[in-house]
Amino acid sequence: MRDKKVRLVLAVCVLLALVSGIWTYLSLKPASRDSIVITVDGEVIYEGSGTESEPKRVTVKTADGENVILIDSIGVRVESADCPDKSCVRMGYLKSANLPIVCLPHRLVISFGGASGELDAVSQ
Amino acid sequence: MSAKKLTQLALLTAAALIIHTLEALLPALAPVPGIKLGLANIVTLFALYWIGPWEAALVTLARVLLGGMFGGSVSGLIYSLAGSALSLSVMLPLKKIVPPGYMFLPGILGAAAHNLGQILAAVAVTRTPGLFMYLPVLVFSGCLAGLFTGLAAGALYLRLKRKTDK
Repeated sequence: MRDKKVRLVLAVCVLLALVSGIWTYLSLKPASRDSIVITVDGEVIYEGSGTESEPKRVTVKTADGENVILIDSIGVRVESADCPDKSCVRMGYLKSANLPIVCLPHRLVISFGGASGELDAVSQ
Repeated sequence: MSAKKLTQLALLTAAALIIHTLEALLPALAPVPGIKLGLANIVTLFALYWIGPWEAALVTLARVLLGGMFGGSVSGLIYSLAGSALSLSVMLPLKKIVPPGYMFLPGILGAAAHNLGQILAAVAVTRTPGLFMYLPVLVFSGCLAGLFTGLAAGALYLRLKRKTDK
């Protein structure tokens, strides 16, 4: 009886790993969207082109800190941040529509705009 | 609470804090926030099987709160708390059906639940439902990390059991 339950738990684990693994693989496909949206606290503070021939910097200042976002010919990335973990900087350029750049301490999110309508509809 | 138990829990909390702090010094595994090994979960799993569910919850709560203070990022605390709460609520009941030899199973499910809790907290804090897109990545990394910490905790448990039974 006990063994049966353990086997069930094992099956759940394997299924979870498989589904999330495949889903991850599919969602990592790079997307090229020509517009980006920057939000803080769910509110849109910047909307614009995803690439700029002349490097353009957007500085986002909140009560919690500051992020400098760079938009250049390759795409958009966070150039510097004064948060402790800097994971937004380490994420590099925004590649996937499914993996927005986030700075959790500053509640900042950078994602592709346009066709990823679900995100827009909610944030507007 | 007996003095022996209090000492035991204090030692476990100290061990968990050391692991937690050392892990924070390691470079990030992947450039996605929230992905980590979660090595301190070894202590939670061990405490769960060696002592009991409430004690494991206590040790984990103490570690998360103190770890947040030592780590210096109080804003990160809410994610750890949400993750730990969900993780504990999955792992504690699993102890009843999963024998110690299969400790990696609650390890996997607990880690996945931890990441789900983190995402829920992050969505609530940033008010960006789009962050749910991170869920598969985080759950997958949680499965791997949980397998690892679960196997480690299981090996520790069985080894200690053999020693104390002699």
